Amino acid sequence: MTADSVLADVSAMLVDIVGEDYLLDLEIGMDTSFNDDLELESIEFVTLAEKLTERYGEEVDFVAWLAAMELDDLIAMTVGELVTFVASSLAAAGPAA
Amino acid sequence: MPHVSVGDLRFHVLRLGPRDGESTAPPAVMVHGLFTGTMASWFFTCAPAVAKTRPVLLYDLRGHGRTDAPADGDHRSVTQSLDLAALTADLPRFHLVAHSFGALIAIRYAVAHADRLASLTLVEPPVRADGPGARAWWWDTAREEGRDDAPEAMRSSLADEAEVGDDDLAALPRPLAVVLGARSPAAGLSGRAARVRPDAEVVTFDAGHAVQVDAKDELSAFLTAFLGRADTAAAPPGEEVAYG
Repeated sequence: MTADSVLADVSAMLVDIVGEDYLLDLEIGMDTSFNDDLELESIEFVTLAEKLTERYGEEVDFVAWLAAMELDDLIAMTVGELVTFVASSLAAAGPAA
Repeated sequence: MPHVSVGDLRFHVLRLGPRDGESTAPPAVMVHGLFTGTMASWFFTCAPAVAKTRPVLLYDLRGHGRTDAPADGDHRSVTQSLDLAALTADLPRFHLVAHSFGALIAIRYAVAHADRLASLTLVEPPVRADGPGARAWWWDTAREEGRDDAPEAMRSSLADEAEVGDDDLAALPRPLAVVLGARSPAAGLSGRAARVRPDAEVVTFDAGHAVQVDAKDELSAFLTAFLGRADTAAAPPGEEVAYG
């Protein structure tokens, strides 16, 4: 799965979580910041993690990724960093069975 | 998004770590605090580290995060201890880790169900340092931090919270840990905790009230070690046991 398709997935999840109305004209891209741009509340970020696990399964170990992360990194995280993590996890796991 | 119904309320729950059958370690249930708290306060701090060695159950308290708010506004710790009991009914003996008002809920639960707990960790519990008496410090702190915008129904249900007595502390199961922030009004509790429960591990980190945020790595390491020791040393309350 390419980064582009992961980005499309993540964007759709975010629209679902925060709502079309809230996003208005904001186009979600790799540089979009969860905190500054999307103003994602922490509980909404939890929901995103749940959706990622639902979509990609165990191959994308979001929780282990979080465990190694400082809170400052988390607050500054962009959509691109998340997409890159998901795409590389999927690549490491090999072709989908 | 997984939900579990308790009575009329749908609770948002989240399980992390090893799945059933993949780990023999007792699970850990981590409870957040009030007002601005949600399960995110553990999800983004210590829960991932704890989930490396055992299943972890997180949930949003009633009226918080993605859990329904009760129509009658009842947020009393006793009521919420019944929520906790219902949400954990299908678990084996478990470790209970709870922050702030969540720790008060945990105390109410633990006094009634000590035999269900493999250990209890109270992080910044809203318990007075000098024993029962006047209004607890935590309500004043919440107000100072601008968190007095809670719904009236929630506030009124909290206004008559019973103080935690020494008899309550004495009834808590062991192993027991009390975790405090050195820069928090709760820091003074260390003396009372050590006096009433000399067997407890009382640790103070360089942190404010949100210890899991200010000292995430230190608290994660402590919980991993403390729960690990408790796995092998936990005994029913009332029996002397050496650990640590």
